[in-house]
Amino acid sequence: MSYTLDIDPLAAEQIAELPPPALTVLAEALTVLEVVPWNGLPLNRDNPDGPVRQLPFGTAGMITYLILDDQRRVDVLIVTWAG
Amino acid sequence: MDRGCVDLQFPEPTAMPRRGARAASARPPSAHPSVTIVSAVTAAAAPLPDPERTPFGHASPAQVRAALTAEDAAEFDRQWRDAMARATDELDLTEVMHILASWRRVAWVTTSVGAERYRAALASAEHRLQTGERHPGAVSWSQLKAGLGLPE
Repeated sequence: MSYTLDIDPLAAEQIAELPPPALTVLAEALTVLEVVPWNGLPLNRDNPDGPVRQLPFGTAGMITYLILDDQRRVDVLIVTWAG
Repeated sequence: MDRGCVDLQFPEPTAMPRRGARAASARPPSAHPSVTIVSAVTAAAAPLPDPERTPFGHASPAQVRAALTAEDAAEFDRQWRDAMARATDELDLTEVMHILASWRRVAWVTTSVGAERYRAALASAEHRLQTGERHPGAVSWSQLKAGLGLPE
């Protein structure tokens, strides 16, 4: 069963400013998050199973997100692009 | 693009044994994903961020620390000192480099949005983790995708 994705206002604002190539790879990465969000990197290495995680996308992007496992929901908090 | 089999392992190994790691966990016992899957998400594997193109990709420990919020800097100090002590004993800097790579990501994201917005985002996440509530201004990805003209 896949996870639903909620996009925070800050992340939505950042996504709206992405250049088209970055938007394409972000969309691919979010498809991954819908299926295997726990495969992202923990925000804090000392809490490897923590629900706030990061997923790189493209060559210069990073998604920071929260997993609410009981609701099968992923909240995208911050989308960072350095391209 | 169909690569058939996608390795979803990310650049930083997370399985390296670490002494003193906290036990806090939100991952359910059943959720131990394999790092490699074969599925319909074949087109979803993103290339890894290029340290040459990302801020803090080669930042020194001092540069990383300077970019963190005060609370993260305190946590960075603790992890760094512990890892350096072990590296001295074991003549192995591997864990130190992993810690630095991890905090470089945090420094990048923190500076990209500013310390206050970063702190607020994490505080809001913590609140939602406790309550299960949605962010009042959240939109679903499917809604946003449609708004941006992206295909379903």
